[in-house]
Amino acid sequence: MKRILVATDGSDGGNRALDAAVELAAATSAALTIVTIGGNVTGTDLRKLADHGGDLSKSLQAQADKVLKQAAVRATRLGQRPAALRCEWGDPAEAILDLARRDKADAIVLGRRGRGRLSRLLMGSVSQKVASLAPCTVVVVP
Amino acid sequence: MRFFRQVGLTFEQQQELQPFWASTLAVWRARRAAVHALGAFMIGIVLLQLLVQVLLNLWNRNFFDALERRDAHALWVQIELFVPLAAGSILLAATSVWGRMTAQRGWREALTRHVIGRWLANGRYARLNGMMHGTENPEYRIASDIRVSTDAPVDLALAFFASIVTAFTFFGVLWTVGGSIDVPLFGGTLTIPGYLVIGVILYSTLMSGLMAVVGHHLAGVIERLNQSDAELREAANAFRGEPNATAAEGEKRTELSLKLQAALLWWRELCWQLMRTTLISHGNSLLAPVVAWVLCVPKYLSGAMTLGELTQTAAAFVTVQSAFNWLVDNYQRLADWRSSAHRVSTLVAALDDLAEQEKATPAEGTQRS
Repeated sequence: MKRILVATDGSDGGNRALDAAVELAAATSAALTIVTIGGNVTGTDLRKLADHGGDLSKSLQAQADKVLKQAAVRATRLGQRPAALRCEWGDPAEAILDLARRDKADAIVLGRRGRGRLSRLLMGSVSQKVASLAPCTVVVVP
Repeated sequence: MRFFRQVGLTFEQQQELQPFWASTLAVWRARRAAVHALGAFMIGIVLLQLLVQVLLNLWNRNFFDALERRDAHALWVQIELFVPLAAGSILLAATSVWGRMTAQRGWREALTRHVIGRWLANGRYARLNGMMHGTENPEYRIASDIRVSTDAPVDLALAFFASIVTAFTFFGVLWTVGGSIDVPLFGGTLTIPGYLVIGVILYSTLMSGLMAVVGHHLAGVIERLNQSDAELREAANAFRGEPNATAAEGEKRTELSLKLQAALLWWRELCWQLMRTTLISHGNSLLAPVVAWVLCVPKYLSGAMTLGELTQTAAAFVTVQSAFNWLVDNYQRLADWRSSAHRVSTLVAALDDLAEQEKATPAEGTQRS
């Protein structure tokens, strides 16, 4: 196993996935790539930006950078300096699968935490989609 | 009040739109006679449409009065009268479309030629290309933003004028036909003069207030969505030309995805905002006629109002209420216009800056021509 891709959104579930990925990378001496899928913004935040003329793109980028920075610090503290930090946009499952193919990842690690119940019902769980379509090993951390 | 502030323009926004209005005035002055003639023609059409609307309102009363009296002869007379009224209304509507679109086409043509002339002069298009912030996609601004920024004001101004004259005219109908109502109060009687006028003002204020509360984010969201769409086009435009190195292309791809994500998020928010405002606007379209009937029914039941007067005043109530809704009905177009006019303004301002630079260094400008 040479390349491990771990997806996180900075949540507890994402952190658990990151911890597991660090452990796996250490055990297999693989390079660790941390990815976050940006664009997770609430309607309240959007309305604030609309009222005060804020730049959504910058706000999304800043939010994603913060998640990646925190994840990098956490991984380094656990003894594994990440080889790359990536930020992708769009449908989370599609973006993770696309990056895994481009980076020729040997394993994808992600948390089981999904969207809300209604979104999961309408759009399906990210982990389920990744697990069924990924070209490599997928580890779903509960 | 935030809703009205968002739809209206702050002093800074008015300043930002100054280049747009300066260019517009320049092209209008060059066609002063045509602008005045077309403006007077359109005002005449609006007034004629109002006249037909009043006549149809009267026809409504006479028709239902004849129906109530079961007077077949009077009914036939009304049916015969309806034909020229309907024909006039249809003809005026079609003429109005011609007038509006002719004015829009003329304004668009003149402004587009004016901007294109300045954009192409002295090779400014080459110097402008991606060099100055806020002037990205000049082709799109010229082709699309000028169209939106010249289309909307014609429609909005005419609709505003029509709303004002319609509201005041039908206030008269409500005042005279609706008359006063006696309300029993504490053993006595309170007479409310022009109670339907008071009713329509209260009802319209309530509906506009509800819309202001529910939709006060809408104008801002539409403006942000338009801006996001423009940024998405800009990000896609970055792929023009020869393929770049993989790293640069990767950055562009990420930028494109980010801009798409932002546009989609604004679209999602617009969907929620429109759902909320639809609750009010659709509710209003169902409720307004019923409120009108309910307000008129006591007088009808007491015999103080005929069936024809009942339908006439109910129709007048709905007409005035619709006229009051001008702002609420049009704020989406106002927001679209504001975004497009702003983008045209920034392009014109950048061309002004380039022209100033050419004056300062004439040799450079000449070499590029």
